[in-house]
Amino acid sequence: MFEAQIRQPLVEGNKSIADVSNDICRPIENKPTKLWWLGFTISFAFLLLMALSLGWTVWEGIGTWGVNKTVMWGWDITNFVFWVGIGHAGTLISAILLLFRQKWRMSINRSAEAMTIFAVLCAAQFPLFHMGRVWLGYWPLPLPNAFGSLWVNFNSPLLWDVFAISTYLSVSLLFWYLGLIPDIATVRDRAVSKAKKFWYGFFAMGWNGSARTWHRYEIVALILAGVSTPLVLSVHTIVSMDFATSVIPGWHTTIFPPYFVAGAIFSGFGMVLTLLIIVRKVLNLEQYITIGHLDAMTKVVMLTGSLVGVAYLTEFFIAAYSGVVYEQYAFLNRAFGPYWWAYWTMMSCNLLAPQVFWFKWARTTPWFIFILSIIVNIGMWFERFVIIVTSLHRDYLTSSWAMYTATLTEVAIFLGTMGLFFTCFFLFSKFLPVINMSEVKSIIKSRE
Amino acid sequence: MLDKQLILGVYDDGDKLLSSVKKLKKKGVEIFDCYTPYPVHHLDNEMGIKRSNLTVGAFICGMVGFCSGLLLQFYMMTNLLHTFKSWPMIIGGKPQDYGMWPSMVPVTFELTILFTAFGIGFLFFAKSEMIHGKIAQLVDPRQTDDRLFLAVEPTELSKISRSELDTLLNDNGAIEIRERNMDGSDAEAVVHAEPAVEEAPVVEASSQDEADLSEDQKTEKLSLLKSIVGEVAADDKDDLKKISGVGPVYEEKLNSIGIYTFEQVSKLTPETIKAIESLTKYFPGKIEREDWISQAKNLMDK
Repeated sequence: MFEAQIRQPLVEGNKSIADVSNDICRPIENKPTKLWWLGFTISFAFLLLMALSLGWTVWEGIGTWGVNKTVMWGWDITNFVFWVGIGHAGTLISAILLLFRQKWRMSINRSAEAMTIFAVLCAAQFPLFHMGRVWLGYWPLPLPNAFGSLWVNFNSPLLWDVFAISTYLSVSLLFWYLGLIPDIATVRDRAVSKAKKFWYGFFAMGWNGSARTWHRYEIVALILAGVSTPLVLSVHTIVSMDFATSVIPGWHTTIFPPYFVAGAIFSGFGMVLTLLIIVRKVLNLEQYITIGHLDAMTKVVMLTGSLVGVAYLTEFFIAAYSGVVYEQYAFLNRAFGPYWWAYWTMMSCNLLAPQVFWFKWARTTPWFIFILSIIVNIGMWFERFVIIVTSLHRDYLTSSWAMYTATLTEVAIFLGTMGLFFTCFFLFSKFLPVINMSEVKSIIKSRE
Repeated sequence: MLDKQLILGVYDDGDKLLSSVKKLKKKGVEIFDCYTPYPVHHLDNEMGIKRSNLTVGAFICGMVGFCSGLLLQFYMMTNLLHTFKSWPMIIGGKPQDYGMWPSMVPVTFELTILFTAFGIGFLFFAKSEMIHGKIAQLVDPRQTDDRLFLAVEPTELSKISRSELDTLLNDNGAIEIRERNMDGSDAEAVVHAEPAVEEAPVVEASSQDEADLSEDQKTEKLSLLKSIVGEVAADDKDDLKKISGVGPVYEEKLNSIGIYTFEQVSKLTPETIKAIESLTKYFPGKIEREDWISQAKNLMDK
């Protein structure tokens, strides 16, 4: 039958169902490559660095960080917001694109969701260790206690954050795992070794692809997508309220929730692009994660980057228009004060750089997209740094003005979380199918 | 393995399976189940599966989450339930009664979502009888990989004769038709049919073929194989899994009878294919159907 080619095929190379299983199970069924070992070793070294630097923080105290009375949030909260933001793209791809029935999500949702989970794990380290006494880390939970029940404060956005992030992590994990079950079953039934059969069998929960189970499965996927969509929007909204509900000039603005959500999607897509461009090359999945996918994602990057840019300019305008001298000073100080370099890095990386994606060449050239995605990541890290540090370092009282410089420990923790993130990702790419096989099998056109 | 006597139609494409299901339903035949490696759309409707009421469960779970969120916060933050034994929560002069409701929105919202998601998750596992470590009830190891199965109970044969059923399945593109015994093993007489393209379906697999070969027959077939495809050391092996249709299990089987490279596969003749089939006892007709020979030739050129 003739079919008009309105769009490029979602999967290239005339794959059959068997090809999909063979291609995607290959990394799991074969010994890891040298490249894998190299990447894993480097990541693991950084993970050890994280353990070391966090251990040092706990042993010696928060004094090992550069934070002070005035700038009490430094790299730690910057990194926290950075990592949480990265996670958002995963949920956006798997949940929102499912609701919009965008089929191109199917070959990238698995790895993007994995990225979400690992990123949120990284993010969780920062507030936990910033508490200082990490062994009391369970105190934010509303547990009955020995103080005649002194409860947690539900008026505080920091507590909302605890609920938002832990809900986000557990719901994302459930959604991801649910999607994995049919694929784990595929690996189980192809497995040769007894150990593999046992472990994949254990986690496949007896999946057999019965039509009745598929019927329920699709309903559950839809409902989970339906609740994850407002969830993901709420998470970064609540993160932004950590700032917006305060009375610090530069933080106390109503634009924060939408602006943070757009920024989170922007940075998340930046990271998805960074990862997938590597994955498709290293695991030979270029026919599944096609140029078409990269093209679609860069368009999202361009849109959200521009949204964030509009937010930057709006903030500036409102500060000027409000007539509040503190607001006006805060923004002038951002652009031309001692941290001007951070501000202009943010502006050029987030607002200007993604505009190249108006050009088709830029959207379809992987090495170029890779560079741009790194730039986006850098820019979004600086955005959080700018918001946190420049707003804090000039207090209402000039006597409390201070500067902030990160210490080696803080740098090491941040690099360490990178190690955690990539270690998890390497393990994921070795032990689980990086592409949702069962979904991809339903969209390959050329089934004989 | 699923402990059930069934007649199975084997497919390699969801559309073919779907059209068979439609035709069978038209004749009033109830489908026992279908097993597919990917969700085939509209299959549930065509099979007459009633829409699951999991959504109702999700709604109820969400409501429970919503109420527990509110209750939790009223209990801890206000004295409306007479819960302040010693420490009232006075924070910046903020209201300590119903007036604090705006502060309750985020946590109530998150708990609603948490309960909905996990509620429907657990309901799904419970209804589908899925639990960690459960042994899967399979009809064939490839049902989660690249084959789709249509299962009909033999009792349905009162509504349609066996030959009618076979023709119907074949006409709609079934690759083969199998019977399963109560103990889960495939029935001895495998009714095997090629798609309509080639010769008429012949019941070819005699019970002798299926039975274990004697040692003599084995060595005879192996030497025939070697004389045609040649011998290769195991060290020079190619990744036979690159041939579409060969999985890790089958690759091992091929290796065990001395086939290691694409070149060897490309040299196969009808005789040797028969020999391989009887030696490995695995999906008769598969090699020709998936055209391994030209696949192997292509792979050699790469």
